[in-house]
Amino acid sequence: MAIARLFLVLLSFSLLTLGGKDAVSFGGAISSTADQNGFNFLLGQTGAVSKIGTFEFSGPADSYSQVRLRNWIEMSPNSVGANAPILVFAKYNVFFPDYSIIFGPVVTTNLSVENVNPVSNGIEDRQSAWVNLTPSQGNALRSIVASDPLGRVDAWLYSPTNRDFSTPDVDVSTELTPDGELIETTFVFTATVELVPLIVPEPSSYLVATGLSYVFFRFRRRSRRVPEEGVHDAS
Amino acid sequence: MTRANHACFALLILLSSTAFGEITLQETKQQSGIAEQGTYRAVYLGRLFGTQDTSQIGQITGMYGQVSIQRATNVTLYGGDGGVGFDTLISQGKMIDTGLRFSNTNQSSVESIFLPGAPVFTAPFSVNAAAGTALGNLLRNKGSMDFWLATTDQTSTFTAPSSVGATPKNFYVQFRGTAVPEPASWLLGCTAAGMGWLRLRRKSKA
Repeated sequence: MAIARLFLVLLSFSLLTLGGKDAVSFGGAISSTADQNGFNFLLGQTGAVSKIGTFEFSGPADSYSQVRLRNWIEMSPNSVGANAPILVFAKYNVFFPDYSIIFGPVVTTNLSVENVNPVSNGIEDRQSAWVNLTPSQGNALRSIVASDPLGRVDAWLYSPTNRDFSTPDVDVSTELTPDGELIETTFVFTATVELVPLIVPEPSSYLVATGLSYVFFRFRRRSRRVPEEGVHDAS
Repeated sequence: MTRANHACFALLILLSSTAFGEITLQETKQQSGIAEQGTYRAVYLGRLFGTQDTSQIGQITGMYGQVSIQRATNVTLYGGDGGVGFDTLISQGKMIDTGLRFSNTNQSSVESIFLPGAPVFTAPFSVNAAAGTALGNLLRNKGSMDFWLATTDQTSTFTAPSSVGATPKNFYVQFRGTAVPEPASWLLGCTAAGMGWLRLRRKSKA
C-alpha cells in the first residue's frame, strides 16, 4: 500500500509538472559527433564561414532548449567578443555562401567560440558551455532537423567581422627520419553538437494529467479516511 | 715541371678543396603561428640556427624546407632579420626570398609540406646566387635567421598553426652552403702558392 501511495504521489507530481509548463525536457541531452568538414568561405571584405560538419539528431522533439558545441578550431587571438565566430545551423548539404542569402532555413544561435583561456595560435579542442536557445531558434532548428529523413543538419561557424578562424578536417603530419625518408600520419578532427530536446504536451496530455490528478486526490482522501474509521471501530 | 712544382700544386688543390667544402646547417622548431595582415599576409615561423656555429658558412647553394600550413597557396618562405612587422622588414630589405613556395594540396586540411622532397630521393632545392649570398652573409654575421611565410595576396587567410592540441607543429630548414676559408687556410694557401711561384721563377731563370 505504501509503495502504491508513493507511486501515485510521484505520478501525480510529474503530471502536475507536465501540465504547468509549455514544454518539458525528457531524458536529458542528445548528442551527435561527426568528422569536421573544414570548408571555408570568405564573406565580403571582412567575414567568413567555416563548415564544422553534418550532424544527425533522431528521437522525439518538438523543439530544442539548449545547445553545446565541442570542436577543433584554429582562430586568431582577436577572436573574442563581437569577433568570435558564432554557431549557425543550416539545412543539410545546402551551400551557405553568404549570410545575407539564405538558402533554406538558417538558425543563428547565441553560442560563440572565443579564443580565450588559453589564447592560442594553434588548433584547440574547445568545449563550449550550454547556451539557451530561444523558442524561435529551437523551433526553427527542429524544423530543419525534421525536414531531413535522417535528421541531418549542417553546423557552421560564422563571423561578419573575422576571417581568421577555421575548423579543419584533418591534420597531415610529415616527419623526417634520420634516413632522410618522410613518414606521414593523419589525424581526423571531430566535433560534437549536443541539444536538449523539448516535448510540448498535446491537449489530451493536459486532460489526462488533470483527470489523473483528480483521481489521485480522491483516492488519497479515501485511503486516509479508511484507517481512521478502522481505528474508531477497534476502540 | 719539377717534383717540387707538382707538390705545390697538389697542396693548392688540397687547400682549395678544404676552403670551399660544403657546410650543412639544419634545425627544427615549433612554429610561432603569429599572423600579420598588412600589405602582405605573413606568418612568423620562428628563429633558427642561433645555437649553431654559422661563422664558416659562405654562400647558401641549396636547401630543404618543411612547414605546417592551412589554406595556403603559393606562399613564399623568407629568411631574414626580424620577427615582428613583416611589411616594414621587407621594405627595409631585411627579408630574403629563399625561392621556396608552399601550397596546400587540400585547402580544408592542415598539411605538413616538405620541399623539394625526401632528402634520400630528392636533391636539395637550388637557391639562386644572389639570395644564397645574402642568406649566407646574414647567417655568418648575425648567427641566426628569422623565418616567415608570406604572400602579397591580401585575401589570403593562410595560417601556420603552432600546435594541434598538445602536439607542437614544427618547421624545419636545412641549408647547404659553401664554407668560408679560415685565415689560417688563406695563409697556408698563399705560402704554398708563393713557394711554387718562386720555384717556377728560379727554374725559368736557370
